[in-house]
Amino acid sequence: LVCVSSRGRDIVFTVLVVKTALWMLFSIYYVFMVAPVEATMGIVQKIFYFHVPCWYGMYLGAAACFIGSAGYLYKGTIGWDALARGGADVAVVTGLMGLISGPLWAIKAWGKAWTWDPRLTTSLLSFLIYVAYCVLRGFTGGGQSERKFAAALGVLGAANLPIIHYSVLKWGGQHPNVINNGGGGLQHPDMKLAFLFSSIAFTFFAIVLIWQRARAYLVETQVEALEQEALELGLAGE
Amino acid sequence: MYPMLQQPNPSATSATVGDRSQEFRPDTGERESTSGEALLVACYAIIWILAFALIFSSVRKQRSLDDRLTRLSEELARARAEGEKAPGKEKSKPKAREPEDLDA
Repeated sequence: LVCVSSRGRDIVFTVLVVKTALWMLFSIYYVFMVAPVEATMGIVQKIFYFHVPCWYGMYLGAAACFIGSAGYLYKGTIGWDALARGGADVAVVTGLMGLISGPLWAIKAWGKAWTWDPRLTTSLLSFLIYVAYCVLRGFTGGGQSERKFAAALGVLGAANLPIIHYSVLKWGGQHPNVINNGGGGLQHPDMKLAFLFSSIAFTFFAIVLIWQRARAYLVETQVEALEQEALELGLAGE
Repeated sequence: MYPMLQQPNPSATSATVGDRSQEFRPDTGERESTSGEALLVACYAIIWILAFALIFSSVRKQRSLDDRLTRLSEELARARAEGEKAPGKEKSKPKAREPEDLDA
């Protein structure tokens, strides 16, 4: 059995949490105190420095879900399944952050919160896929067939990610495209650095959350196995 | 030649050219009522509330699971020890099943 945690893993995890907190604080400082205000949109453009990394975090969560799901389908071990669940949780939360921050920016930039733009639509679709994954895992049992069905969803759900990425390039739309053209849309070096620091902070943030959620699901499976064992030994209800 | 006309500010032009040729609308000042600062603060507040909600729910879940795991492990160890002391009693109980795939 995988134990609750080894000391070495705990130390690495703690270091990662501290790094995440420091990068977050530094990126907030850089975004608000150093990066210049955008000429056309004004201060509301600073939402960009967290809006895009939120979606980047969703990509990381979705990638973890894909890898975990593929691993579970191939190997059938719960470590992969826990990774997939952790990744899906993070994809949902960071996707929700992106879906909330985007329309708040759009109210000012476009004059309306939402349009059925290709990138917005495909992003919403991807978010809903991971919501469906979480709902499936939350409301069905933990049997092997449910796990396999969810793993198939985790693998197929990742197919939408490249479509989100290339939707702006292929189909146009209103969504800004300052990153896809090599970051050339960010006209000031401090804007590029602010975006880089936020992206690093959200990378650590997503990794920490995926790790933590996956570990929790792993322990949950252990607990369920032990409860089953206790039931068979006649310890139920003690 | 006329960059301002070629790339109008989207927030400043809510009506299309066709609309403008058919009707005149009074300026209600709605655009000005949406403060960029307020939107920015709302956005960051929501992001951090969501982040901390996930972190706290994860920590609580992990703590309760760790507690359950420790308690169950102790109870099982005690039951196994009692079973070894009374072998006759142990035979009547089903053998503890190994989890199918916990070797991850």
